[in-house]
Amino acid sequence: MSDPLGWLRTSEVAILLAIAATGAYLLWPLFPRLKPPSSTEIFGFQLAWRTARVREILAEWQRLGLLGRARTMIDLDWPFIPLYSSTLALAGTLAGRAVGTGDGETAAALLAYGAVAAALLDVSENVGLLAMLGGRTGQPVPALTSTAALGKWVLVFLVPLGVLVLLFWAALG
Amino acid sequence: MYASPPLECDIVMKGGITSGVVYPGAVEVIARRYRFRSIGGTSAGAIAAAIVAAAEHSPDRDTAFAAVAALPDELGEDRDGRSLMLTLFQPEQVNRPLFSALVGFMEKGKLSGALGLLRAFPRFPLLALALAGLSAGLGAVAGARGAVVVLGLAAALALLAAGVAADVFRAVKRLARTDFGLCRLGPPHGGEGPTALTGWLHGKLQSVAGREGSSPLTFAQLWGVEELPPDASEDEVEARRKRLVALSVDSRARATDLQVVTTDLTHGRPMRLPSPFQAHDDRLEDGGGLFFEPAELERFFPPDVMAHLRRHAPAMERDTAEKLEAAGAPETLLRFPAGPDLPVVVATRMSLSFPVLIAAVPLWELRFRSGDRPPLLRRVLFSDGGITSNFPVHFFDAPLPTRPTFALDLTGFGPGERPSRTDPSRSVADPAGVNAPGQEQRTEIDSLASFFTALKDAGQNWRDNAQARLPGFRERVVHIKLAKGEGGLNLGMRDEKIKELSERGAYAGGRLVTLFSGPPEGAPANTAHWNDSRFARYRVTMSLTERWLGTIRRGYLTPGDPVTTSYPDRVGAGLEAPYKFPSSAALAFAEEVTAKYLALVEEWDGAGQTLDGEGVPRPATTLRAVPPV
Repeated sequence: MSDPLGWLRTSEVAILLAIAATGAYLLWPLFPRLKPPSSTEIFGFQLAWRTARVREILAEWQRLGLLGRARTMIDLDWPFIPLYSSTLALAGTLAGRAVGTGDGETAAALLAYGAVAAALLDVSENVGLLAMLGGRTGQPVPALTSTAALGKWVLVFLVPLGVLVLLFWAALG
Repeated sequence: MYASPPLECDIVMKGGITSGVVYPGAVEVIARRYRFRSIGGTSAGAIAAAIVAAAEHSPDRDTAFAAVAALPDELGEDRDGRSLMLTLFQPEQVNRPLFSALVGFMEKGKLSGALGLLRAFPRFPLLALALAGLSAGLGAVAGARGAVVVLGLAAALALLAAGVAADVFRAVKRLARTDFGLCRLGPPHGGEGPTALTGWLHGKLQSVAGREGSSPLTFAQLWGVEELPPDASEDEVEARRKRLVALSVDSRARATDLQVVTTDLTHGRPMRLPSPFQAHDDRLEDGGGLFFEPAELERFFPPDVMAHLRRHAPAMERDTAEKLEAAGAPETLLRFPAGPDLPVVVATRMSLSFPVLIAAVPLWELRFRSGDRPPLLRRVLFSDGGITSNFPVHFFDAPLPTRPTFALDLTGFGPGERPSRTDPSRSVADPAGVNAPGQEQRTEIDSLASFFTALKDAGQNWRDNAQARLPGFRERVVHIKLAKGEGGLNLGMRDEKIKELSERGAYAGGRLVTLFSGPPEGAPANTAHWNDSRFARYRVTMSLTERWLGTIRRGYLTPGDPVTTSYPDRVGAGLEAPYKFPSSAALAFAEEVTAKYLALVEEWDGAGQTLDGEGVPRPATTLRAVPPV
């Protein structure tokens, strides 16, 4: 599998990585928090799975006046998605190039595609979250939203792990 | 020099943060000839007023006013390269970056201020620098193409601007956690660190009043009513209470009458402190339903002031305690002594809360609800008195003044005017002549910023501005002009500037003395300004009284209609609630007095004479029922 960012020089990947990472770092603290006063953060809503659980969370947020805050989190997520997924993809590419072999290149490509997939899943998840906040809490919306969220979180965990493995690999020569 | 002044006066001082350094000079000159009986002010004017009141309370007036005169020197003293005045503004730990950025802008101008801002919030500037360095470096040595390098540099700039803006925004949002101000001005955190303004002021009030080591100076003590020993008898307690009620009603009988303005933000109105007792009740006119949480106010006031507040918190009635419990209030909540037993330093701090710079003072109240629902405990925030009345020129006003009420106004220079370091007369405008228009505020509106400033100023100050131009007021208002960089938010003013402003105040004080009782260096003399001012006031008062009585007669005699009971009929039924007369005799007295007023007006009408005609001083004035704030 070839490097999808092969048209960029390594130094350029580094610059773009720095831009994306600092952009994500800038945006991250702007996300409001729901817990406290809520007993559930947005992650709990993403992975609610069941209609009853979704309704329970929504009822609590409504009682605490937190529905607007939850919507703000999703609004902020739209610009955050390209920033963090680019960061992951570029970091994967850079780490793969550091390895310098064909296997490294393949691993880098996998990580980059993984980051893009995480972004697409995050977009799907956000659509589902907005639908549930808008009152569409019946199945299959909660289940689909949670599936997308689970996929995203797995990738968001695996891609950095892959980057670390590649860097370790490169360090070992 | 100050021991036995031959005359008495009142004084009112305007708010203006550090502009208050003009006041010691002014009051020092006036104090040589006048004893201050009623003293009022807002914000920085309240600080000056409190110190003057403490000096009048002192058993050694000479020493006390010498200490007042020495204040500008003290405030300008160098403390590790900064003036004492600047060190009195100690920010809360969490607000330090924002405060240092603000001071940087005020002290060093825009460019140095901007650099100071980057130093205060270094996270994103450092990241932006790293990004720019990385982009440029990789472009130079690793072959990154120009477009990507430029993108990196542009992103660094954007990161710098957006990151610093975001950090400043977050820091501003955090102000809510510190009662909406950078500084609470209370005791230093952990008991260590420089003394902030409230602690300094408390010490100053105690020393100037000659009460070092004693309990905090209170309004009751200024009125001439000392605290009772712990073993006082019930009779002594009752006698003291009666004396305080009597002095609440008759403010002229107070030994020294100090009043300051604060703004009750929660209810959107000004409040005068201390709150007097009601005439026929021992309840306070205002603020009697306020509570305080000692743990909260400990961040604002020194320990001995807090001990006094706890000791003098009015007893909690059982009914109130039950309502607090129903509202879920903590058991530590105490009633706030807003009356004469309030320490002067607490009222002064409540008046001085310049928004954002200085935190609002939080108190609590019960908010009752309809039906059986339990009351709610809600915060009541007190902020700067200047928000609602920055120049309370209406304080201590009397229909026929027996002593002058000097008013010290702080204003700006007109176009083409500038201060002179050696000639304070160029920075002070005399009070208006008795038969001349008063000096009006004139804001040059030539930009969007000045337009919005003018909008804010008009909304904030219209009452004071309109009052200060009236006959009876304008002749006693001296205007002290301050240029850009002088007073206001310039916390970092240096020693020389503080002294220069104090001299400006001294000149203004001298002009008031000269106009009202002859030159300060000579013996007091009868002056046309003072006596013509009193006569002008007489003309105004007589015209107003005639007009007021005329409107009473018209209203009283207007016949009833199907929806309106005439006044004679309703007054005749005055033994019915609400507001019923306490007895038939009281009702008969009311009817008799009313009849006499009406007869008086009829007599004037019949004679065809009026005191509300030609020659009454203008602009027009009016009488109406207004709240006592």
